[in-house]
Amino acid sequence: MKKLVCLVLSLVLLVSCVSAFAASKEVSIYAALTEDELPTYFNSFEEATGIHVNYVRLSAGEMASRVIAEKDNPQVSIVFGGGSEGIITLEKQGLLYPYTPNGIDKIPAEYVTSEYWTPFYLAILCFAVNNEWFAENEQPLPETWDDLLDPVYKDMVIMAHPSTSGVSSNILTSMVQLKGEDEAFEYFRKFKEIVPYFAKASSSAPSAVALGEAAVGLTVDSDTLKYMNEGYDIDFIFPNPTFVDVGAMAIVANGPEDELENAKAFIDYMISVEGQNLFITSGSTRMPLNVDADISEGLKPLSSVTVFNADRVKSGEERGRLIEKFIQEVDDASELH
Amino acid sequence: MASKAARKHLKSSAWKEFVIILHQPVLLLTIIAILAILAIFVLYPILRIINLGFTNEEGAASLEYLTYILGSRSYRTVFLNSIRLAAIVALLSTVVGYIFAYGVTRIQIRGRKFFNTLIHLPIISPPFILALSIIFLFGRQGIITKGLFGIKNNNVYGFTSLVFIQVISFFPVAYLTLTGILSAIDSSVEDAAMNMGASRLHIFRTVTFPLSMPGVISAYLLTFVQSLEDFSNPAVIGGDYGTLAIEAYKTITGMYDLHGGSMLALVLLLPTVCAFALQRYWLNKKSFVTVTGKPTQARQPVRSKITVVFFLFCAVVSAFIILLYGTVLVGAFTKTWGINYSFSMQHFTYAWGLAKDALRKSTRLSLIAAPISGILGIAIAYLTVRKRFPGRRIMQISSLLTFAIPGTVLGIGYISAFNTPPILLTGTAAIIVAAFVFRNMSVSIESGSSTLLQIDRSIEEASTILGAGNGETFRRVTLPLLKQPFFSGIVFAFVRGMTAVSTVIFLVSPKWPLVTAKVHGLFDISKYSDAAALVVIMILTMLIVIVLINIAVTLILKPRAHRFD
Repeated sequence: MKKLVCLVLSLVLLVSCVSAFAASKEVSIYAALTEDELPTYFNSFEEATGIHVNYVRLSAGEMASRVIAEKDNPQVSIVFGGGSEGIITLEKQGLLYPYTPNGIDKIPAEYVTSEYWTPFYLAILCFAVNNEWFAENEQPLPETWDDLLDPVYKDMVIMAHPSTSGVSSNILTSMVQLKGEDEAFEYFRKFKEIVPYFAKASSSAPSAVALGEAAVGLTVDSDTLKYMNEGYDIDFIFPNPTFVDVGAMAIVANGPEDELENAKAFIDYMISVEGQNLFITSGSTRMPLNVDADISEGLKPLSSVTVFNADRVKSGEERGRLIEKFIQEVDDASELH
Repeated sequence: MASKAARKHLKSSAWKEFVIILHQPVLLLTIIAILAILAIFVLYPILRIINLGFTNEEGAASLEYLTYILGSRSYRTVFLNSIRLAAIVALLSTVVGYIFAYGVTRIQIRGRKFFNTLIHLPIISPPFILALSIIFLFGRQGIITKGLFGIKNNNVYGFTSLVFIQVISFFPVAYLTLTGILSAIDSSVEDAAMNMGASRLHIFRTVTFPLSMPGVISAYLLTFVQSLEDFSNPAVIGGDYGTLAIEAYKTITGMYDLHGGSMLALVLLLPTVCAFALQRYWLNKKSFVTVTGKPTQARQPVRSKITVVFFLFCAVVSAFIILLYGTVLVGAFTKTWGINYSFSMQHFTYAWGLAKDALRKSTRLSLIAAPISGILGIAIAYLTVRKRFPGRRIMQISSLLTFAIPGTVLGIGYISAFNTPPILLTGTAAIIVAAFVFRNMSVSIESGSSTLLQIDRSIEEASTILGAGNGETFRRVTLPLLKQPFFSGIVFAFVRGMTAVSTVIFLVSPKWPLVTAKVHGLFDISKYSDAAALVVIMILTMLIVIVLINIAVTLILKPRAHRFD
């Protein structure tokens, strides 16, 4: 019983401990990029500046909702990566700190739409296709959005659910702007007949295609290229028109005070040529935005595809409502088989 | 009239017992301390979740989320989906767990040591790895479906796979709960029946099985609740079979809607609280005492056909587990899955480099949490079964709540409870340790309570009469009898800490990275072989720690004779 009391007391002590302040040679980050590429960026940043990065990798949705949940006492200085929509949501709620980084002039002005966040890479939407399946079934490759509706693809097309995937919510909001709301939803209702179910993460689309679980996956170019580089027999096709999403990073308002300068240095570093070229060394094959940076081998330059440029601010505003409508009208959980 | 008098008598005897407790300061302090801790780490976060569920974004009281959920046909379906899945999974898990536990403890089948070790595998690895090997084995490119039978386009995602994986993942919990109770049933009651000429089946039906009922019900309840709140399996393999835990996650992370997600979690708690209330109601009416302190004989191992049947069943299930884990092991040593099956160590090098720091931290935090969880759990089991005091029921119920709530939402509850003073814990290790302790102590409570129900109070009374104090009796008499549930509880808390996925999504902090988050990250980007390698490293770490825990528990709880020198 004495031991028990001791333990109980020590637990109470543990509770009363308050976290120690971070040393000023550190910066803490929630990162929504992939686990494998992050060490490259953070280690290079530490080599260049001596600032150590502590990070947690989360999905873009987890990252945004964590920042919202922690708003009374923010735990990190930076939200790093993921599509712009999640970041715009944070901006709207007043949870970001305005910062104009050094070297922003090297980023094409059309992508710099807010002082609260910094764009640092571009993701082009594509169809990832499994070459083996198409050869075996002697089917022509799909080239347009409507090609995907062919019944021959039934249960062989994979797309993540817009409520859990930034790539998919971008498809949803962009499609609505492209076709108009009614026609876009008509499209998704037909599309629902083709997919076996909506997956959780968009990254599961290229992997399902690589492993032959699906013939076509809706994903972005760099994710597909990564699998191609690993040796899987897959390819990407850009529909006409395709959509793009900007990868964003931002400083969290009222984050750890002594990390603010380090956070600014990190943002500066990631848009510098040195930082942007890390997309090649890390193997992430992301499309850099700095005009002087090099592009990973195998990536198609943006100029070679037809892009429908959706209004990103509008997308961010309509996102919640459209996803709700998507759940109600397209992916109704009561229509289970 | 008579019943009224009886109730009055009961009330006054409860009061008397409480007065006795008042005279035992250590016991009283323990009760108060435990109640205080539960209030801070269980009730307060859950109150925050209730508060979130019943307020809107402007912070005003609102029923909009409740009415929306109740009025929506799709949410009703998802709710029924969850219940159906949990009911089936819990039934199957309990049956399989019972067969294993009975075979290992009562009829002592061949290879029981092996089965007993193997059965720990499914609880000591992150669940989505099981899902992964199912995809590899039975998916469209599956080694078995496509390679062996030439079946193309086999859709592996959905209800059947989900049931299968959940049963494999959860039946060991049923097994752990049941071995405690089955090994504690005194075989002299069975022998007595045997001497009177009863058949083995008859004995099982009328003696052994009814005596093990508390364990059966605990096992069912635990697996039911685990299936209800499970996040990672439905997320990876559920396909279009939506469950409430997934909906809660989607609402929080997809719509940034903490309020709606919290309300969904509260709806999810409803069946759990009902099941729990039924269990207590039923258990309170019966006696299961067989451990009486009277001398018992060593059990005669059974030699009959029935052992062969049990052996075969256990062997088939075990073979399946080995197959699933074998696939993971092969995957870990394979260069590129699906293309190049040559041997490679590169994934181990990579996984070790990426996650060694996280592995160390996960092990440390789980190791801190496990004994606290085990001791607190046993203490709560002891107090709620043996003592009568105000707040006993609150102690019982609150200890199950954190176990039953979906991990994502518990994380939100912990953040909103501990993100601002007076109790500022976010970003520290303490918040993770607290979540591990309070989320995982249910197994020690459940298996501890069901074992205690079997132990005759007179054993403890004998000790007290001989002059031992309450604490002395607890430590030297009761606790050694509780060795098995105590051990199970610690092991369970440890491995659940090491493998927690959804609970820690909102609690991992930059300074305290956890290894499951790394596995999840690798899994998300389909670095399956790297994930597999990391899981193999994790399993090895956990196995070593479990062996050490076993040694420690045996040493500490060895019944010792008093020395009079």
